[in-house]
Amino acid sequence: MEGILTGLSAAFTFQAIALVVLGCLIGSFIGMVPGLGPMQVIAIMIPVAVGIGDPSIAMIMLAGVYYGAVFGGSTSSILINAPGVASTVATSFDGYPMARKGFAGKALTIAALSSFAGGTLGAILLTLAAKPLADVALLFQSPEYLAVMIVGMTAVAAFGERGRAYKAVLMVIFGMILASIGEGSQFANRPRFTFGYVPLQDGISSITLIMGLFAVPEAFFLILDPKRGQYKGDGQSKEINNMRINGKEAKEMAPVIGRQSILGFLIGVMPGAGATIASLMGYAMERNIAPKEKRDEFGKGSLRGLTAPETANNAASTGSFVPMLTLGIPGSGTTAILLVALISLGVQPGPALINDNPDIFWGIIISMYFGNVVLLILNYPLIPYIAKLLAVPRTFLIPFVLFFSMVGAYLVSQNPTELYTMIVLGVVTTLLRLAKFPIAPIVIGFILGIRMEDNLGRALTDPDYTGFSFIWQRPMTLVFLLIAAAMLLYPMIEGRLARRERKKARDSQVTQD
Amino acid sequence: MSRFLTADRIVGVILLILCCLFTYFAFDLAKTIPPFFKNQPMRVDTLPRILGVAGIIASVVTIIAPTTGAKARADAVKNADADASKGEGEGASEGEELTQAQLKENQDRMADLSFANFGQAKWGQLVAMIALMIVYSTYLRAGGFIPSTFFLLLLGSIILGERRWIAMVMVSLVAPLAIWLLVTYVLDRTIPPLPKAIMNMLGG
Repeated sequence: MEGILTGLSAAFTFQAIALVVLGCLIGSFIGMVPGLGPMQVIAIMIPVAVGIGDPSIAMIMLAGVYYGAVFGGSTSSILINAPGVASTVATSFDGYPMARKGFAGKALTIAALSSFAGGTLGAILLTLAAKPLADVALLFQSPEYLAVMIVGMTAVAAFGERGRAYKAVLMVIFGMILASIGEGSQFANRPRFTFGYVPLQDGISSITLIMGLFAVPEAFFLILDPKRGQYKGDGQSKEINNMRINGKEAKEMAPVIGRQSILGFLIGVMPGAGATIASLMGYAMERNIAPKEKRDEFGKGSLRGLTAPETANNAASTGSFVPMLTLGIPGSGTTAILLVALISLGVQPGPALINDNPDIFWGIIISMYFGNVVLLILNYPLIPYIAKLLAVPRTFLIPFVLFFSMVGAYLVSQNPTELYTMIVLGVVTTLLRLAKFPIAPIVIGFILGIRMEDNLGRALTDPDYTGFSFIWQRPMTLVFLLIAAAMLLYPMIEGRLARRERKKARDSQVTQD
Repeated sequence: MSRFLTADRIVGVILLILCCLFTYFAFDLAKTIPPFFKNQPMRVDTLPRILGVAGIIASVVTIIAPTTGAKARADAVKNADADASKGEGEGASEGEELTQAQLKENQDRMADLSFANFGQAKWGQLVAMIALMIVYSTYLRAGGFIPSTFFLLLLGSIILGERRWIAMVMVSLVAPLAIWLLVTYVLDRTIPPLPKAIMNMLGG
């Protein structure tokens, strides 16, 4: 309770309020641009956040940017059938048909209310869950940390890439290898893998890394494919007329919101299964449990079909903060980027955060309530007008995205090496994405790499254990590691069984590739 | 693309080579460790060695993993797609199939280009843009922030095929100024705004 008050006092200063409002506006504006989603917006805004200096206020602003970007994606899904990010694709299933029928205003209202409700209910669940979870995490020692990090990374691989988990695992390892360049943890206070090249001694800066991994490749893809993210609709922005919904509609939305907030939140808590999966699952679930006549409306502008993914999406975004805030382990690309922001601001995330920096911990949580309110009362009436400005031509947009990324990386150390590193990472990432390798695991491996090394070092040098004996001397560690192994192996075994069955089913079919 | 030389395998082979090199250097690190630290349970090369070996294993798995899985999965999605477009299905499995179909649509929408439609992509523009970025990185300090950025934005638009000259020049002039003011007065960081020669003349 005391902590919540600390958070409130951090969030309710003039500066913080102004920055949340500004963050929401910038976030929703950039979030509406096809191709640019929360990850890109936050990456570009990190240098600004670092410039602000005060970690709690900076994080509050970034939280505003995040919510703004998520909502901006929903807006462009509804109005022009152009989801900026994967997590709002499900929104366009029913949001766009609704707008086409002439109810664009109503669709925006439903989306705004659902995301507000999902985000707020998610934030309440987070408030309730954070403290007990952090208390449990405080019991952890280095071996448990190490094991939990391995569980987190495995989960990212297993849930994120069904049937292709090994590709995600390879990417996690790639990220950890990148992290081991330069002076690593306290156990490696000697530069390594620098080949005598001085600028590499500090290692790759995490800001440079996320620019190179997320912002730059997105711009490269926009260059390569001019039609990228463009909509399949009739090409016209929908007229926004009556934004009201009536009591009957509100009554229909309420149970959907209740169900999907909880479901979405729980999915969000699991590492690797983020807002995209939550929104698609929420949509499918509501369609299945809807009565016959309501089910037929799905895909043609169903109220439930719009409410479900919007609620689940926002609840899951909030849920993904749980492992990040309590354990310091990011479960998604977006929270990994927010974690980079925290570390750049000089804050060590982990279970100690709640006691050492209660203002930051609760400030972030309070800013979630706050960001949701700001979105609802300030952004939502403005959206129609911002949407009209939407058509920034790509010929202007792309140079700007690249320019912002380069300035951000340059400000890290004012050294051209940062920029070269960023460009190389951008090219490599582009090639990896062309080959359909997942990118978020790289940044998760990068962030966890150094901290894993610290915990491994502490566990190995602990006189209670000899070598790796902590694995079986500490039952919790063993359980975590077994969970990790099970998650990694299960999809592979499952995939093999499914393949065998399918093969039996259509033995006669000719295969061609 | 042939049946065996998939994108996964090409990347797998490249990463395998990189992981082997990394592993070699990781084991080579031992030479640089002073004798006193050699017997420590945790050394500078402990994690890199583990990582190197794990990386080799993961890339080998990526290379030898069957390609048939991808085709079977694509078929499954295609079937689910057909079922969903038929509109009606009964029973509990419908939800699963619907999600599959939507995942497919989701992937289509958000899909990156792949090696399959390699040729249609604007590779020339990309290469020109990367070259421009490298030049900008190299000459940012000497050329000063404002002029360098002006040329970056202007040439960037030209590379992408924009020809609305007035708008381009205006944007390229105003943006660097605005960002420089932001960086200097809001973020409190210094970037020399003008070319070195002029800055020296101004005594900056």
